[in-house]
Amino acid sequence: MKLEIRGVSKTFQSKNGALTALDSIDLDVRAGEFVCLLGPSGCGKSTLLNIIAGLDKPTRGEVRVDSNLVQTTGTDRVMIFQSAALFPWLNVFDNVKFGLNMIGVPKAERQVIARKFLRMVHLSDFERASIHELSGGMQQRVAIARALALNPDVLLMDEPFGALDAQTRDILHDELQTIWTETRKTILFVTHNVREAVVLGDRVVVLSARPGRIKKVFPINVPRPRQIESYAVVDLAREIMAELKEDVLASARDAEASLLQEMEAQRVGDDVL
Amino acid sequence: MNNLTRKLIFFAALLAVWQGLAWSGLWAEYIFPSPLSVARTLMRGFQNGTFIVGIATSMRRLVIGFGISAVIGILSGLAIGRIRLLDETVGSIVLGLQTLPSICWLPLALLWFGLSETAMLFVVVMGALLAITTATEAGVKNTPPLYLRAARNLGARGWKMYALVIFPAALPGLITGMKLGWSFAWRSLMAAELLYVSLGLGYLLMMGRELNDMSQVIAVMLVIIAIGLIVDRLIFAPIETRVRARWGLQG
Repeated sequence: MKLEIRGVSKTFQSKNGALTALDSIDLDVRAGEFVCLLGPSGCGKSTLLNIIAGLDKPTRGEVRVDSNLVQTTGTDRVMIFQSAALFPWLNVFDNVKFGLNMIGVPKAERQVIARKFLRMVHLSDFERASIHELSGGMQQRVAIARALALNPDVLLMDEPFGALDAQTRDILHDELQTIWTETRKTILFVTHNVREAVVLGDRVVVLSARPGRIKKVFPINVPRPRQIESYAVVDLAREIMAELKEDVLASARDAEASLLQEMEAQRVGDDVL
Repeated sequence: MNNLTRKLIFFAALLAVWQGLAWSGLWAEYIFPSPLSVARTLMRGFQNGTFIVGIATSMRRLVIGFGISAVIGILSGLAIGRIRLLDETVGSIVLGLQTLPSICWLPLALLWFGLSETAMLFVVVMGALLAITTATEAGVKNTPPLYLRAARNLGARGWKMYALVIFPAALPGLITGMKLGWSFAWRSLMAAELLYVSLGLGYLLMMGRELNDMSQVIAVMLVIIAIGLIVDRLIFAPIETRVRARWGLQG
């Protein structure tokens, strides 16, 4: 098993007392599998990714990658954030090379690797561009290239296309499926968009509203490449939506869910430096 | 009529009124010099070299003092911004000392260092250091946590985290601090030079007063204004614009 999540719970301390984000999550992910985590906002799905990434620690339970206990961040698991989190002081090329520089890859090699992945995300012509010159979709592609450059086993994607318009998102779904087929990465993809989860995932793991628990797991046996408007996708999405509906309503009524979302965005592991 | 023309007309009118008042003879020449006599003093000052020596002396002190402040200020700002213990201890001292006008350090500096260049430098450093420290610290604290998380996630650790992520992320705030620090240093230096016999522009101002040479006083004031404007427009403004554009902070 590539990724083993065992009894992971997470409780945040807030002004109004303890806030349980995750409650005993158990999940196994095979090498090369594409798993989508689906849940209403504030159900702790980003917290789970943070814990797997090592950016946050579980209150209880543990995460293992290739049987090794996750204790801190590691470049075998790279996260892609909703806002691409590119560094504005670096151009596109230097952003993609950033991680390689951090782990001490020789300069000449960095260039070769960065060029390869920029080509993969179709941004070879934008090497010298500044970050703020790029559209949201292009920024997200750079973030994907930056993550892939480190050659991680596991890609952790936290609603990476959530802020993009529908057309751009469709294109990126296609590209991501292609990239996944080419690289065979293990991908954990967090989203609250049901169709997105069905288009991308081998499995869709539905989480309940806060506290996040695994409610149901849907295997998606639709042949790839999948189209977001195909009948198979739409039907499955409807079935999953029915499962999710009451939780979405519960979450919408839950003021603390938004507080939790905020806390997730602010969390930096205590040992960041 | 464009902006520049409006400005030119305004300043021409101002000079004309000034010259008119001077010619009217309401006040004695040594109290209210005409723009023409100020211009003559300026020319003379540059021709006989006294202004040049003054500018060079002041600028040398300023550059050295500001350089020391920048190095110490940036390093301590980075540390205070990142390390909570330092923030709670040293950070509160910095905040308190910042309310003290830096010229208040002169008596202390004179006791410690005597009538020396070091005393002067000390006052300049105390003027700029705290502003730079505070601005750097604020820049570090305002760094979006997302950058740190992303960097950490991509393998950034230790000094590389500081040098390649925290420092550049804080740069826009830091440049504002440097600009502020420079103007504080400049003010402190002028105050110190006025109180303390030495070469430099502040001394030339005092000389003007002692010789009842009002046109020298005004000429030196104009030189001081010009230097301030030149440094701000030619050095800090372009850097600030470039960084803000690069960081996508404009518009």
